[in-house]
Amino acid sequence: MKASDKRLGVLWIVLYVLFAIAPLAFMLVGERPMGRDLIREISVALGFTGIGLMALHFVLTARIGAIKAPYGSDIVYFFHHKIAFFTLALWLAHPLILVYAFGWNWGLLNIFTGAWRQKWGIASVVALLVLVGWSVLRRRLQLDYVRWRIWHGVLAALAMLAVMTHAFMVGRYIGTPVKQAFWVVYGLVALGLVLYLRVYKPLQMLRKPYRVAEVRPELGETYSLVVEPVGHAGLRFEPGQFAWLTAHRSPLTAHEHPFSFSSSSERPERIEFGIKELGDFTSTIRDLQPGEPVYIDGPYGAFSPDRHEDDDQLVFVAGGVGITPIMSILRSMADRGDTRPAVLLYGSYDLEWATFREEIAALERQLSLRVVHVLENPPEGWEGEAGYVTRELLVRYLPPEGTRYSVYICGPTPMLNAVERALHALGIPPARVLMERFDLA
Amino acid sequence: MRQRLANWLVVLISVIVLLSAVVVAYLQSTAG
Repeated sequence: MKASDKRLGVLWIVLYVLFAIAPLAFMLVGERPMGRDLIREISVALGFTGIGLMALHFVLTARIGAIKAPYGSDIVYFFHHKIAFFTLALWLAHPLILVYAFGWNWGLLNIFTGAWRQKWGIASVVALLVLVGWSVLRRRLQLDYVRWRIWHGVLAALAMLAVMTHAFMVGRYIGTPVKQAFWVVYGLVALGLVLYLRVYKPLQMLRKPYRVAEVRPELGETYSLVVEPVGHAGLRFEPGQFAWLTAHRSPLTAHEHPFSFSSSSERPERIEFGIKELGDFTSTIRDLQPGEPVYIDGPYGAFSPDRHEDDDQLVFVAGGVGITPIMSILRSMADRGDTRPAVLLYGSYDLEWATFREEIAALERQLSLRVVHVLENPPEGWEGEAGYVTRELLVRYLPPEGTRYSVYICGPTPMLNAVERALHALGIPPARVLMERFDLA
Repeated sequence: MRQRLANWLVVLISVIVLLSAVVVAYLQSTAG
C-alpha cells in the first residue's frame, strides 16, 4: 500500500470520529440552557451523535474515491452496513430513554397526538427502521435490487430531513441564529451528497457516454461487454478496479450495477467488463446490440497492483467470475511488458467453466506467469489440482520466504473467507492480502 | 481479516461515540 494511502486511512478514521461527535458541540458551545436530569441529557446527546453518524453514511456511500482508496470499496460498504445498526440503535435509544424518563409515557411516541416536532422525530425513526429492515431483508430474501436501491436513497434523505427538522423545532440546543445557521448547513451538506451521487454524477455520465462495440460470449456463462467512448478519450483506470454500469436506461434512473474491468488499463479507448449471468440485469447483457449507449461511473476500488508497485512477485487467487479483475491485471501486465513472476490459482467447477481459459494460457506463455487450475469436478485422468484452494495448496505455490509479494483474491465469499483465513494462518500480513468482494452494494 | 478489523473499528467508534455522549450529557446536566 502506498504510504500516502496509509496516512489517508488514519486521517479518515480520525475525521470520522470527530464528525460523528461534532453535533454534540451544539450542546456545549455558545448559549446553553439550564441543565436537566442526566438521563434526559443522555437521551439528547445520543440523538445528536446519531445524527452525526447518519450524516456520515451519506459520505461513506457518495463514492468519493479518496475516501475509499486506503481501504477498498468493499470494506467501506461493509463498514457502512455494520455502523448502520449502531446508528439505528442511537436513533431508537433517544426516544425510548425519554419515554422512560417521563415515567414510561408511551404517549410520547404517538405520531397522531404529538406536537409537530415529535411527529418529525417519530417519522425519522420510522424511516430509518424501514430503511435498515428493508436492507437486511433484501439480502436474506433476495428482494429486487434496483427498487431497494432507489428507496434506500429516498428513505435515507427523508430520515435525515425529518431528524434535522425535529432537532430544529425542538430548538433547545439550536436556539440562536448562529446555531440554526450551522444546523441548516450541516443538513444541506448531507443532503447535497445525495444530489451529488444521484444527480450530478449521472449528468456527468450523460456527458461522457459509451456505446456497445461487442458482446462476446466466454466460457462459464460469462459475457465480455466491450464498450467504446463516444466523443471523449475514455476512462483511465487501474487494472483490478471496477465501475458502475448503466445499460438500457438513462443514468438518472439509478439502474446501475458494479462490474470489474476485464480489459487492459493501457487501452482506455476500448473497455471490457466480464459479466456472468447471475441475476435479472446480468442476464440481459447478451441482448445488448452494438451501438447501444451505456454509461460508466468509475473507476473505483483499491484492488490493484498499481498500489503495490514494490512487489517482486504477484499471487492471484480467483474463483469463478472472480477472474475478471485479475484478467484486467494480467492483460495490463502484458501490455506494459511487466515480467515479474506471478502465479494464478484459478478455482473453477471444471475446465469448461474456467472463463478466459484459452487467453490465460496464451498469457502464461507471454508473461512470467504460472497458471494452476483447481477444479472442483476434475475430468478423469486429471493430474492437476482438484478440490478447493486450501492452506496446503497455498503452501505449495506461494513464493518462498523473503520474497516481497501481495496476494490478490477475488471470488465467491466462502472462498474469499477461507483463503483469507489460510493466509492469516500462514503469517501473511493483512496489508499484503487484497480482496475484492462482489456483494458490496 | 479486513472485515474483522472493520468490525473492531465499528466497536471502537461506537464506544468512543457513547462515551463522548455521556460526558457531554453529564457536563450539560450540571450546567447552571
